[in-house]
Amino acid sequence: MVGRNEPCPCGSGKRYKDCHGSLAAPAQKVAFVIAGTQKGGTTALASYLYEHPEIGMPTVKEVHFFDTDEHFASTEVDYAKYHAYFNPALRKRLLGDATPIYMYWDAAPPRIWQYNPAMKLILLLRNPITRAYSQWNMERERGSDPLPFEEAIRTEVERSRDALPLQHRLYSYVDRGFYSDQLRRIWRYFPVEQTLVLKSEELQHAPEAALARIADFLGIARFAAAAPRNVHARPYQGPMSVEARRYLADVFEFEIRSLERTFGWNCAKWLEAGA
Amino acid sequence: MSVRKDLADYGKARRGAIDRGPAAPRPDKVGFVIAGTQKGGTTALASYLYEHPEICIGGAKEIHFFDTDPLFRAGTVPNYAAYHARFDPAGRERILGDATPIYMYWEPAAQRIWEYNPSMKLIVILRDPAARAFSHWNMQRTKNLDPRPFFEALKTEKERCRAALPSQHPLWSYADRGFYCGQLRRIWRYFPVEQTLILKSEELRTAPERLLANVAAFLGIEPFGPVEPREVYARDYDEPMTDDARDYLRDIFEYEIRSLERMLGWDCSDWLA
Repeated sequence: MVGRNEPCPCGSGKRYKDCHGSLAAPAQKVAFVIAGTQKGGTTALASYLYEHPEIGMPTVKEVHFFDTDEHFASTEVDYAKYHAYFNPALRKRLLGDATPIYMYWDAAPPRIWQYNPAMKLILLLRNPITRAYSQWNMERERGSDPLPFEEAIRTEVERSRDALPLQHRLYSYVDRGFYSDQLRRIWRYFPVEQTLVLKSEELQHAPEAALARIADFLGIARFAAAAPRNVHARPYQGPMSVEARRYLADVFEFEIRSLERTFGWNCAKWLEAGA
Repeated sequence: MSVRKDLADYGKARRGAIDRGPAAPRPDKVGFVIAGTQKGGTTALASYLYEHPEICIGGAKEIHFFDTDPLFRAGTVPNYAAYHARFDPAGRERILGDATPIYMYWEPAAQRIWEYNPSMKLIVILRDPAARAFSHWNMQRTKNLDPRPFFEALKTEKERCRAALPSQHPLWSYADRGFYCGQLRRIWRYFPVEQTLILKSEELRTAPERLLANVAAFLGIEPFGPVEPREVYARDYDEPMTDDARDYLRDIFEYEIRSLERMLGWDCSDWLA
């Protein structure tokens, strides 16, 4: 939360109440969100968007506005706090927010819809099996999870109850991989045409084609030539165990088949060992 | 919902005739909900429970407490006394139950139930989601709540249901209510698996004694008396489901059903036939 007399987070040097905190501030609404999935390449995608001349991205990496419950405690939401993350001096045509928990966070899609029902949503989906392992590696590296991976995924439902009534931000390794439910919730609020769903591999292996689709979806000029980027490649302590992979393949097999059918994708590799 | 009222009266009358045990102390909270699914046989299941001497099912019809959003405005304490006033236990009735089948579908309900009573037990009875959808549509059509043909209602469901935003659509959610896995995962986010009992709707017809033995063991009540199958899906359809609707539902539910089989260790080949 920003105090009214503190400097505005947009970097203007003015006090918050005289800048984005001003109740009279005219607001350009955020037009699109990169809403997930976590560990799906959202940071790499945002890094391309930062460089696009028509796009304004926030002054921090992940804004976490629509998943921060305090912002929504009163019926009058102070969106100036959200807009303060965008520098108005840049005068960009479209503002975008890349916060990958939005697609997972139950409360976020209705809040986004209430803010801007014309919002466009970009979703990068990664193999939920490797996504889970990548998230665990991140938490382990940060010292946030002392449990071995297999134990963490087998006890996830019980452990995550520590966060009730909220979802668990850290230990939701498996739960975040049920994309079909998350997509159905998004499509409850937003027409399918306002959403663009890509496989993470598309951005990783064929960034030009993926970025062209994103540019067309957002209605902006095509990106300059784009080389593949691997923004967040972290070293793993070791590979996923055979047992953990088998467990997750069992959990996600029909989830993956369902995505294949919904999007006409071929995700055979997601279910192969070593993928 | 006069059926429910009739069943309640019937149950009470029957119990009055046979039950002469000492009165039980009134429980301070509702102990279980039959949380769904709609058109899954919740009324038939409740009708057996009405007759059980240790159970008091609340309301002459579905109570709809945890899905009534205005009762749960942020910053206010829900009026649980009004909820409890819907239950009138008599004799040996020592467990209160609420059968409101929208609870499992209604997104905020699980959290509200957990905030009310984290020890709540939840009974869920699941039916072939394609048959459920058609039964749901037939009900709305009979009530004149949906003028569209079934297949058209399915294909336009997402768009039509946006009329209820930011809420879910209570009437036209024919396909959406059939995605049980996500609804179960949400319940298990709040409640341990041991506090839930997931039943297969078709067993109300094919094996009611076994199903009710499971219910009795789960609730910790004495076994049910002799059980006869009851009409579960009473409504006659004017016309059968069309092939295009059947193909469409099979396409969207096939992997959902496979997931459910794996998650619950069930055989749902009858749903996929």
